[in-house]
Amino acid sequence: MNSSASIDRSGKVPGKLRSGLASTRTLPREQLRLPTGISVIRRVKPAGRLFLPSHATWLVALVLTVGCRRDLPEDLMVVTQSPVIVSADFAAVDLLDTRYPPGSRVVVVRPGSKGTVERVLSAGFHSAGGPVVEPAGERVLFVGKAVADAAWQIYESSLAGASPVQKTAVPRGAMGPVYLPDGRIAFSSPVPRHGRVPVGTDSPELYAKPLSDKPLTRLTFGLAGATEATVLADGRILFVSGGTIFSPVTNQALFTINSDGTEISPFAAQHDGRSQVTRPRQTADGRVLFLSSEFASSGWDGQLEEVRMARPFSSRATVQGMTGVRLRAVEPAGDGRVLVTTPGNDRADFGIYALNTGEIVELGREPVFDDPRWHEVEVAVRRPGPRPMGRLSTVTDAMRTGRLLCLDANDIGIGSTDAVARSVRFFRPSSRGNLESLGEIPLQADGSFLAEVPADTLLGLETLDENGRVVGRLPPSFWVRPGENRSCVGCHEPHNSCPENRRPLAVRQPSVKLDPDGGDLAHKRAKSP
Amino acid sequence: MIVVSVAVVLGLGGLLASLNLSPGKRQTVRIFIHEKKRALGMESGGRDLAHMQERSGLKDVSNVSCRHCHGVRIEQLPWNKPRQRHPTPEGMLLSPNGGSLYVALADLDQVIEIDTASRTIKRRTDVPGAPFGLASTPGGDRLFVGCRATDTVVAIDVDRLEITGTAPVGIMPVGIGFAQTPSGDRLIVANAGSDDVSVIDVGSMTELTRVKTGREPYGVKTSPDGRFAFVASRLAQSPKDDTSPAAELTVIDTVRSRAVKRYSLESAHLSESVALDPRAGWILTPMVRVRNLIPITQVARGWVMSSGIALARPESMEIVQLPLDEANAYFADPADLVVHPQGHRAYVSSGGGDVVTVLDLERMRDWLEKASPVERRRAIHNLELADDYVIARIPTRRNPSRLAISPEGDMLYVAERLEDSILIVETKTHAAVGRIELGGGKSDDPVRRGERIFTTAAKTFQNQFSCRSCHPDGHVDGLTYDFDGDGIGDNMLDNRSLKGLAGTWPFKWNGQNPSLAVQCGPRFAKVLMRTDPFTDDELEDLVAFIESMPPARARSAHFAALTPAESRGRDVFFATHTPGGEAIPRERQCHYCHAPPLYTSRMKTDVGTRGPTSRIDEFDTPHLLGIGASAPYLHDGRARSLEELWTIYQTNDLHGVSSYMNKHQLNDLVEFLKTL
Repeated sequence: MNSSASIDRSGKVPGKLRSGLASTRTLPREQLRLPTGISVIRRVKPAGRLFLPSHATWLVALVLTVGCRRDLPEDLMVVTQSPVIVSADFAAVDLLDTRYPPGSRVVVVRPGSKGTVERVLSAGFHSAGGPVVEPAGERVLFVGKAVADAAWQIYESSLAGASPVQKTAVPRGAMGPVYLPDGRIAFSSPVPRHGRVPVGTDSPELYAKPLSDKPLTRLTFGLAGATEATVLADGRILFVSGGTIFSPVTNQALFTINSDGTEISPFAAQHDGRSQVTRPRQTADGRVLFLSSEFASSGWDGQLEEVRMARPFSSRATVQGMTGVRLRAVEPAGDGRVLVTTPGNDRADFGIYALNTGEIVELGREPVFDDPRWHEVEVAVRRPGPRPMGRLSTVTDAMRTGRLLCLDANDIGIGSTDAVARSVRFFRPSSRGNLESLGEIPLQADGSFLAEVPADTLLGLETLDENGRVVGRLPPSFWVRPGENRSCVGCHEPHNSCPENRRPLAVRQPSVKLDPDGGDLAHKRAKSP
Repeated sequence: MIVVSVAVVLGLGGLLASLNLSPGKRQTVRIFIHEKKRALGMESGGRDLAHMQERSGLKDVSNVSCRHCHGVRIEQLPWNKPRQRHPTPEGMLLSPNGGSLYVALADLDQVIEIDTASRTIKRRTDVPGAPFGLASTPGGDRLFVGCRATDTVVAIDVDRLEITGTAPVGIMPVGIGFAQTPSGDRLIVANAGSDDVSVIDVGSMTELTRVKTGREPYGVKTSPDGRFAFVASRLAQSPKDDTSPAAELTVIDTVRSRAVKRYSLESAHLSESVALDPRAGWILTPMVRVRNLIPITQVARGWVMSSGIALARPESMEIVQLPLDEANAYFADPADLVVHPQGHRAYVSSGGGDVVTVLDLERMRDWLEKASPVERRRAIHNLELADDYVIARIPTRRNPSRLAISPEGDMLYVAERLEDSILIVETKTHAAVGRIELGGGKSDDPVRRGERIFTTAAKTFQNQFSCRSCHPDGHVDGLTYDFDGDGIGDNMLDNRSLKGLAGTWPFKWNGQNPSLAVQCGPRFAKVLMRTDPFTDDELEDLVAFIESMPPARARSAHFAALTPAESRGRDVFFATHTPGGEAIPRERQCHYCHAPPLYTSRMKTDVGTRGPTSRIDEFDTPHLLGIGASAPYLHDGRARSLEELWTIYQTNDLHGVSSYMNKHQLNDLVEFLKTL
């Protein structure tokens, strides 16, 4: 699969749109006058000749990058407001329709302004939400629907109030934008249909929009959803997924990838029970906060939980004092406070509250911001500070494979079985919906193997004993990017384990290249010991 | 660049001299000129071509410039030029009553006394020779200082703060401990450069004996009864083949002046301190758990190294290594470790992470009691374990190193080495309650700024390690690594010293990096740091620091002229004929490739040293300055000693004609090499 995958049903962005997306700096634009009154800047590819950027393009860029840098208060908040009353005729089509019903908007407010909106960033949109402020504190991304039947797209505005610029044009919609450390934008796509469990190609994946005129870069490959992305201070993308496409939405958990899609790793909340996870956010004191709710519950509200960065797999807990408190969003304020959106104490509409932190965490008595005419359902805080750590990509686009080094496939942690694996078999999902074998390679005497595997492909593996019986099985749940060298200590070893200092036998010989034409894999679980 | 091009074409070298360029940019310009000349055929034409072919023995001289042989003068190298001096607190000791804090300022050749009540510098005295480790008598009337540059220990009368005696010791004394024994008072001095410990009779200030230790003994702690001294060695012994390296924790009987126990710390190194747990009796030492045998395919999850402490149980040979790092945060380069007098807390400074970690020793003991042998053995690999016993991380300024805790245990003093200050921490609250400025901390010195970059872990993914983690004091860690950029399992690489590196370009074993700026640039960030590369300014400062480091020293400061063996070895090195009168081909004479003054030709050469993992035949000719202290040898670290280059890995006289040498001549040659 091409590393710069595109994102429609067939896996390709139509040429016209792709050109428009990829050429935001070199192609002219047209102003799309929407019924709602907003002018959306959209680049189109001219027929037969190359256009240079118009003065207006530069003007927009100037406004976004220079003109917006007038003194802005550091504590500005960008808020999603949704109407308190939604028309009874409204029927949600997709997932974001339920999150941001018609009329939802993104506004800039000042704390303590008693409900006074300073600026509406999404003026004229049918609905909008999901604001994210860049680390420099100047620009804002949000997701918006220009007209009722349009797809959700990502837009960028400035806190100073420049007109929004459309950053994506994805046929099946985009959501959950974040700024990556190098200035690129990542987002999830497609936007799932309302009321359906997204599977297969309906399941949203993460993409990055390059700064140059290159096509979108696909970052995740075949998970059951890759949504709610946020960027950790160390530069990794933290996101929510429901496992793999073969076991969707049984338990949503947190995963990380590097900003180039390499090193897919579980982060926390795996095997913790069946729950929906939204809005993970890292705090300055070494925690990741998120909202958790039962799948049976409707809506986006959840309970505030946390894991500690120091031991994320064994520290999941409801934030003390917040049991039973219904929240829609959580956002570290950067000054040590944590802001949440909640109906609050005896209030009907959602407002923004700060958590009083102490031995017992509790909601502040008065909201930080609340307009009774609106639900304040999301908040992002302008907090200029150091950007997350960057990273030079290790992806080599010209390559079609990556390598996987396992130090000891028989290392499954303390309490391992007595069965000893002698070989490992790789498989991947096939287009027919079953598993396709990529081949089998013997393990070295120390249990190590070094395999060259297809890149950007969801992979799983089974370890087999000398009689070909399955000893251990890892369902399709990981991938390598082109040119990536990926390593693991063992198979299903304890999370956050460092390796022993031992030179694996597998590295003394060339890697084994797997044969993608190995045919379908007959499922051998029945033979497992 | 237009100016440079014009200058090159017109041969106006003087024009460049008039340009006010920074060292890094000047280097870039030099490379540019070199390439321009090559492109224009100006560097290999006419008489030059014949001369260069004749001198180099190469037909293709496209990679040879005049400066490979000409124009290098030792006295012009950056490490030989005057530089700014900074207080740089290297050693720290509290007086027995806690009233005075003595600080060794190595860079200024001074020891100062700080009044802990007023938190001001009370007195200072000159102590030549880069004073480092400190110890005192139990009564506090005498102070003893190890001086790294002069290979001596000096005694200081505290009343007068004057030197009253000097004892010569081994090479580069660092850690020092005082012991009262039935046979008299003793000093135990760790000689990092000669891999031994000097036992000194305090009364006469004479060295009684030397005890062999692990490689680079560094930290010393004596038992309360004075009977034993515990010595932590900083480097792991050079491993053989693919076996894991191990550092040594040596227990010395101070009465008999003999080593009575040698603990082997598997895959551990960079232990620079020792402390004792007064309750459980454990011997504690901070350490880095290195994973150099695994290909560096990633750095996440401690794949390259992680920090910890090693606990040695005195009544057995059991060693338990426990992590200091967390699942998503690392605290690199643990430098010093002190234990609270009550034995319930320990404090570890993280020189790369700019924190002091507070350990709850009671929780740690509880865990050790409950853990199975397998859990104890694998504990160092469990990044979620430290949360059990780490109760605080106290932020500091840059590069916290030495620690001292007051006799009552209420105050902790932290030497902020590269900020020239001492942080004072209240141990009850873990709060910083004061700071003593030592009169430096300026940021106008590129070398100082460069050292701050060199020692910080903030430039690597999750703060996992610093440049210093592999290059302690800019030198070697004695290990080989497998970078994945050139293939997994291919080209195992010996870690080369950064000391004495100025002027010895090109860099990297394959000689592909023309400058230090390239060596430490984006590729380094991609392969090892796994973060954004250094900025141009940072890179310039980093290069300034690296080039400021003089070569390592493998020879005692007590010798002035060459010894007879060294002189004979010099004759062997520069020999043009065998003792039998047979001419040695010029390209196989030692000094042909290893030409003075840097002892390198700066060219790649095939001398038959290709190893089992090598994918190339030609390697950069390493300079030999400080070579005696840089084991192991060869590009892949196969040779554990200089002797092995000829006894095990001799290459049919391709790597210099050596087959005629007998044992004595070879020993003489090695002795000479150690003088460089």
